[in-house]
Amino acid sequence: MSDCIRLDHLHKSYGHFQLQDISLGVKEGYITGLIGPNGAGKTTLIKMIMGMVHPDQGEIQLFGLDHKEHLPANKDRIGYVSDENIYYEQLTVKQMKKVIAPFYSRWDEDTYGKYQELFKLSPGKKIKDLSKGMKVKFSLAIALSHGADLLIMDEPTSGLDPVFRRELLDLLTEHIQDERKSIIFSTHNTTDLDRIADYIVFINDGRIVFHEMKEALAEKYLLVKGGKELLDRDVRRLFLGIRESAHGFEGLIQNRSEGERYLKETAICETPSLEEIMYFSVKGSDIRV
Amino acid sequence: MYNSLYLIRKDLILVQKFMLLLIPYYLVMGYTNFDGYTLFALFPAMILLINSCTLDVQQNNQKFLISLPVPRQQLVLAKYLAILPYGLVSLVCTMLLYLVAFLSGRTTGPLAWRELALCLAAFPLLASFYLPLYYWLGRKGTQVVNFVFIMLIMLSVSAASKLVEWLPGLSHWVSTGKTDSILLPVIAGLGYVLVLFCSYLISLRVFAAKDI
Repeated sequence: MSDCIRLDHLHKSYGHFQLQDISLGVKEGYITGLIGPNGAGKTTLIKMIMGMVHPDQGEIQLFGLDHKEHLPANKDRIGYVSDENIYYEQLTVKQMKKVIAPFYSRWDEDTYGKYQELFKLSPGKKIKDLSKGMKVKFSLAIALSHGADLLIMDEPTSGLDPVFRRELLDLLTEHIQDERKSIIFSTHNTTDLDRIADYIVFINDGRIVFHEMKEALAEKYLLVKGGKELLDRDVRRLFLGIRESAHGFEGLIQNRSEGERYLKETAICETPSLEEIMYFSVKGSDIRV
Repeated sequence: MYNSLYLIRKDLILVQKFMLLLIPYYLVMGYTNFDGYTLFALFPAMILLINSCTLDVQQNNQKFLISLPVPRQQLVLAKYLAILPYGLVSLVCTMLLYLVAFLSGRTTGPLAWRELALCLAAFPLLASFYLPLYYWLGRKGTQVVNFVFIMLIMLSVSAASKLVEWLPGLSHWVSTGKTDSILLPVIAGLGYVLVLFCSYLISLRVFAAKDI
């Protein structure tokens, strides 16, 4: 199993924000979810992969090829869905498709027609008149119509209604069935990733907090709920983050076996959701309600 | 190379509605100010270029362009090559205007093709100042760039008449088509090509290093 994206020690600074020492491999044939709070660096990372932002340091390889040297050839194999509309708003769906299609060597008009019909995209409608959901559908129809081996999606589900959101996730699951296609998908809505992701990359404050298989997270992290009397200095040290209230505490432990050894008998131990892992990792141990 | 052609086609699709506005422009200007008809070859071409550039930065569209499997060098090259069709559109419209004026008896003189050529040649020269600024200032500076460009258009009209005053040889060539020395036009031609080439290199350098 090879990496379709390989990032080595990427750095990027923008005034106050820094993306620091990002190294990771995105596995071919899987869905990798990129999670993190707003401003964590997810979009910057995606922009670097897309060649929109130049890293200050580090190297990017796509499909085993150096990204700088083979950027156009690599992008021919990428389907990109942005977090905002990037198409010309004054053009119609048909005109926009006509503009885009000739640039891709594997453009398939029949596949586009199929998605146009499936998504009920009206060819004569102007891009500016499409709703947020329809714009995402159009982006997706384009991304899926040129035989892309890698789909890169930046917050594709934000602003979508629950019905299409579910349809989109099903479509993505279907897309990677042949095991050669890969998806990298950024979001701050962790329920989407709970549903479809195989790997999770968690970015916070410009750094990778973890890059794990989703199943491995359940084995690694432990959510503990209990009375405040349990929280002496030694127990506190076990926690990655604690949320204290008048009634007790809720906290995340990074070493599940150690946490269970100390607290299984005295507190409620559960498997945390991605949202809980993200919340406690970002907030740390200083949460009081 | 094909990518550049597709990019030019994209620009033409984007400005096609704007081109319809050239019809009233030529009708009004032809009716009110036909004497200076050769200048009509300059203004619409530049407005078409400015329009296509503005549309590219208006709504994150540079992000779209960068997402395409096209090197940045070709994106810049296409903008410079698009000067040709814009110039051609302007030239054809101006010649049509002259033809209508000639057939309707508004003018009886021959087509001032040398003046027309000079006006048309001024367009790539002005574009060579505009495009590096456009790439440098980007989305946020579009309004400033456009303002500078409009100023350049205005200045170019008065500069053209000054140039004719300063260069009697040019004035002589415009009126007779003859030149005393071949050296001056050759130097001017080389300088012209050099300015265009330097402009392209500056634009490329700026855009290639830019984060979108």
